[in-house]
Amino acid sequence: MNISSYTIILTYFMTAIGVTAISLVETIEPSFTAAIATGAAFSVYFNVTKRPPIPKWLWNFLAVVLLVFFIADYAYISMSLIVSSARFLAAIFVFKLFDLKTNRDYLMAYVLVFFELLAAAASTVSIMFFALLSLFVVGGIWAMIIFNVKKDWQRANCGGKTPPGEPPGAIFGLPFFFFVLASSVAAVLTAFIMFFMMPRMELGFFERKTANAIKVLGFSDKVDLGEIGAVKTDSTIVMRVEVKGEASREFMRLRGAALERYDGKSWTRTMKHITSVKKDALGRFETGKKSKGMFEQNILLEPLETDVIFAASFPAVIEGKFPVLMNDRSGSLFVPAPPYTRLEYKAWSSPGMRVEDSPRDMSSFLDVSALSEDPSWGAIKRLALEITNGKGDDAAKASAIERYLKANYRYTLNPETGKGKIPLEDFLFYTKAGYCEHFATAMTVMLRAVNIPSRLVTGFVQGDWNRLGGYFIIRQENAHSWVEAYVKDAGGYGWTTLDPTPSAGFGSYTQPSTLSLYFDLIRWKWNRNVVHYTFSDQRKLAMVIEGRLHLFVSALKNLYTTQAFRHATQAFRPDSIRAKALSYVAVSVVIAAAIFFAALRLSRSKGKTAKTPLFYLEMQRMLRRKGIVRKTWETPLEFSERVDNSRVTEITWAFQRIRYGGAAETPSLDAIKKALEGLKKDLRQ
Amino acid sequence: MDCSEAYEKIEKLKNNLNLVIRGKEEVIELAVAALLSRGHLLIEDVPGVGKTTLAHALAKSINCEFQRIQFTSDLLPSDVIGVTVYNQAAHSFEFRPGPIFANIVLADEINRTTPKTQSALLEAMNDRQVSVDKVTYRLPEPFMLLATQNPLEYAGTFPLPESQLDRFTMCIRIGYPGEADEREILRSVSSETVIAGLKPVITADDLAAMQTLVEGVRIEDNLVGYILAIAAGTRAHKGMRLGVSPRAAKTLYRAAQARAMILMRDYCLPDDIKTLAVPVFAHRIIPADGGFNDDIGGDKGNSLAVTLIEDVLSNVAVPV
Repeated sequence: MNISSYTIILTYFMTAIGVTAISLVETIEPSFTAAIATGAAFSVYFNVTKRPPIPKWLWNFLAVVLLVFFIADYAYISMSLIVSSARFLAAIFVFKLFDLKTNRDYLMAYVLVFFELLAAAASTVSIMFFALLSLFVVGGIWAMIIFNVKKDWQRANCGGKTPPGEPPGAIFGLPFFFFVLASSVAAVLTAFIMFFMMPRMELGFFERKTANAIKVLGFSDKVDLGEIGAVKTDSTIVMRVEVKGEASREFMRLRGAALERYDGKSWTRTMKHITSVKKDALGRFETGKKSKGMFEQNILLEPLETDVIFAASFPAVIEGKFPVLMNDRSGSLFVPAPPYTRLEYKAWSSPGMRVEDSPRDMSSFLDVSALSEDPSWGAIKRLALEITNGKGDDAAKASAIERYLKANYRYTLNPETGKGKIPLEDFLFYTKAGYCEHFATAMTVMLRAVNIPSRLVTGFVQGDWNRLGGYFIIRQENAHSWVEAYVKDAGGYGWTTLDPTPSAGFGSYTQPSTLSLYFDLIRWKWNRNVVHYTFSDQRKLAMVIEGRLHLFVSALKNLYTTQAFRHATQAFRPDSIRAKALSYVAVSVVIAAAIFFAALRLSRSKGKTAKTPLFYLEMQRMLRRKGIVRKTWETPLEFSERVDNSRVTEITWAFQRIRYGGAAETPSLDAIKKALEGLKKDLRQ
Repeated sequence: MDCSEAYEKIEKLKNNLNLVIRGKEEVIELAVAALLSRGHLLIEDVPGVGKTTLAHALAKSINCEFQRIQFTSDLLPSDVIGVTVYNQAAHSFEFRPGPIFANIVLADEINRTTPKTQSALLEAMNDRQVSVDKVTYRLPEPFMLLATQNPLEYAGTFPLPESQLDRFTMCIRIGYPGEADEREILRSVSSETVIAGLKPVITADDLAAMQTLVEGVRIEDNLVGYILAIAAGTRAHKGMRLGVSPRAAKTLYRAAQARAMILMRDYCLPDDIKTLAVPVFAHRIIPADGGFNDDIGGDKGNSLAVTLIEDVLSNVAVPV
């Protein structure tokens, strides 16, 4: 068996895979598959009898016709991108079968088969597909081996003969076939074993490992007073938040954990009652009541040493790749364990108030037992009553305390120690200066003193605005704590956000340099579009493209479609299988006839053109690398005279004897090899 | 005759011609190529550079019949071809062959005669026969017409018609010799003496055999394509009113084979075609602004037509 028989067998093996793949595309009718199969079968005769391939102009013409047909198919007949493109691919593939000249043509045909497989993959769940894919891999390996042998043979034999030398059939005996088959199967098996054995590493270069997780304070179950102050100078980026809609102009607080128990020194989360958040129909976590004013945030959270999930208050819906999301009674959100890698998720938040109409047991939000023993408690309670004296409802009282603290206390990151026994006393009566935690603690305690349920919230405030990318860069130093109070509002009872810290406490807002913004933007984009590019993103992209295309096509149709034309195409829209089959048969017959006549015309015009020997091409390549290029109008001899190198002259003459002198005087291969090596050395110098 | 024998004889012929025309190897190569491709040669140059000497030397080197016709304005076709006279003794008309009946004919200053006489040569050049009084006479084999003309003198000349020019395989120019060669020419004995001393190196039969051999020189299909591309290029060129004829392309094909043989190859290279394109094609085209024959003199005689052909060559890709 010679190599061309081999390639033909291989090609039709691949063809069978391709046609089967097309038949797997669920919405393609059997009649079309049959037409394709017929075309492929016809090409067997064409290739076996070694008819000349279809001429270039015809091939181009057919490609254009097919493209037009593809558009028409999409617009009027199938109205589906997958079906029309699968048909297009199949038709192009059949044409290619009539145009197999060079190795590249064959490889192109196999690539088309691969695309057909892709089309099938997009629309089938049949187990057949798996078998087809395996067969394709085997065929692909087969192809690679055969074409490599062919190429090596041609190179070794200088391609001097016309047609260029083909390996003798003796090589391609049964042993060769079994060797190829065995190595293909072995390759497939190895790949499968590797696939199942390889550890699933998701820690790529751009994903931070746990070891590098950023230490954050203030988000554990217990927060000591002063913890947050310690990070106020740390500019490590902890997250990036892209806010969509109008809300991006408002000041944003990203809520983390809420703490309710205060013992005079530290805050503790006692709400151990953790439930997992339910998912809605779209698979998103419903963390609160949805409202009309919700705004969307895209959050990219660096790996922090906390299991808390942040979102602007108050988060109503969270969408992310967490297996579960949990919350406690305070509305803090958690994942089961601190994440290993960057987390990307979306949150929709309703600003304003978190309505909780049916108040449960509020005792833990009013608990001041740890302080009531303290001698300062009386003073604190007095102060609170003084501030709220004469104010009407709880909401007014709360804002009175907020205003009082804002107006009469100073923000500092280095509070002094006063005469007070506990930090709170120091802050309220002696130093009158502190940072967010002091303000928030004081306010929470005072609210409780006047019997308003309240809790302390830790989180982040918005950081630097990256105007280039349209997102906030939030750093450790943007950590903040504030207060939530349970008060009655126009909408009923609920939790509302209060922040007694003077605005000086929101961190310094020096605008970062544009360059650093650019770098951060690149990081953001990379993470958004590359690292986190998932199948669902692909699907979304495909849907968007399909949707756009549909719009475009229908717009086109409206532009050009008259009523009469619509009626005319109606007739062609294959409602019945027979009509479809007929139209395909008609198209195939026309195409086959065109190819046949073109082939007939070509077979009359004789004249084979020999190919340029590879060693001459190699020489030209070597010279080209050095910038020495033969002009198209330059004869090889003129070129060698210009280059003026004895090796080049030698190779040129060997080339000329083969190329123009026929095979009569084949120069020895070794001499050419030596000359090429010598030339390589000459060029290196 | 086989190739090596042919190479040997060609080498001898070239050496012989080199004795007479010094330092003009390319010119000799072209002349021999025209000879081997069964062609005719038009030598166009100013007087005194060796046009006639070349023709003489060529004829002398071949052991064959040589005739020289000095073309003048009153020369008649019968003076060239021959005439039928009445033989009183035999009581019949008999044909007296003219000087054209020879293996090598030198038509000196061919443009000095009338178109009538010039045209008498057409049949002889193309079909290697002449017809007189309804009788056709074959010319001897091999037959070659060498014509010379002086491009500078226009007074009293009749420029060769296109149809005539198309029948000359090549139009070559000899050009002035180099300084060293000219010094040599001055020092040496006169060319007449040299020619007189020349011994024929090939016979007419040898020449015929070599001409047959030339027709078997391998010329690859893509080189044929190259010839066609050049020919098509002249026809499409904006600077030419008239491109070359299929006969010209065919002539180039044969001349390329002859050149390959002269350079001891049994196959053609693109260089053969490229080198011969100018001498074979340049005299056949008509430039759009009528610039043929101007700007003669100097070594190359770089006329407008030559420039145009070179322009075509620089736009046609050489097949490799």
